[in-house]
Amino acid sequence: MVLILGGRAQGKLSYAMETYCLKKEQVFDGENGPLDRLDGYSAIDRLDRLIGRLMQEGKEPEDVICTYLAEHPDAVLITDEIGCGVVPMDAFLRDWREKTGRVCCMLAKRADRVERVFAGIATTLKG
Amino acid sequence: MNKGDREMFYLVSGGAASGKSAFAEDLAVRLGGERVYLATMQPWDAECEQRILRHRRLRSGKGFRTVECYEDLRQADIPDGGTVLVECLSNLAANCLFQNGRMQDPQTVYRQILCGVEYLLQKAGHLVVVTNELFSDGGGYDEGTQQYLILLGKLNRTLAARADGVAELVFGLPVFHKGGDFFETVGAVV
Repeated sequence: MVLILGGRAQGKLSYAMETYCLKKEQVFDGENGPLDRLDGYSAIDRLDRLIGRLMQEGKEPEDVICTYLAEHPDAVLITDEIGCGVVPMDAFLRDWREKTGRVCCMLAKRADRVERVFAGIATTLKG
Repeated sequence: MNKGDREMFYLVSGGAASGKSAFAEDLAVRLGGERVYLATMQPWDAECEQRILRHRRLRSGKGFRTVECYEDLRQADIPDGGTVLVECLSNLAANCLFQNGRMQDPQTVYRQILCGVEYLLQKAGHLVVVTNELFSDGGGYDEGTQQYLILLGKLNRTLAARADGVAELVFGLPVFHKGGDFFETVGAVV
């Protein structure tokens, strides 16, 4: 599994598609894609949004992502680094930020490779 | 002088839930000596208490003596020559800037905190300071928050310049911005 992270609008998805030869239809959109149909996709984009949506549905994001990874051990996961801002006033946004951080720590540990994209340029943090 | 014999100063940063505390605690344990945990978070409400509890669990069994210090680091009861871990600078800066419910002069607060860190550097052996990355979202904050961000950014820059080693934690992985070999010397790598 590959984890790709970075700030918003840094070119993470373009980098991932080019580097890992992904077609648009192989990438699940974590912001808008149907939550019960992750299966079959080679990559998940906007993982942070997916985590927030799963939390809103009362689902455990770790469980959903681990189930997906069991079927797709070579997946590419793409996430925004949402933890690098001011602590939000809204309690749900704080929980979401905390959960995304913890889930991504777990994923970074499991990942074969972790890359951080800054202004379109990737730096390998692991692997 | 051999790197291993010198008293070291490390700055550890990262975003929310990035694994910076676990990394900093592990680093402090590796540095050895009597270990003191300088806790700066005030238990304002249930959520703060939960965070404090989580941190207590995380460091239990690692041999830290906890000393609470919310504002003035110079008042902290620390032993000579031990390893001190400050967790964290972002809480301390907020406590000092918004003392007594109103905003204090940021420049005065900046100098007070630096004096406090100097005191720790003189008295302690090794020092590890945990801080926070709060600087990469949209902005549009009120005056107080903006002053706070400027204060913390300035503190981070000054301490990073002073530190032997600076690490940023990214989802549990350390990125060494300075003195990576000093971290490696003590084995603090993932």
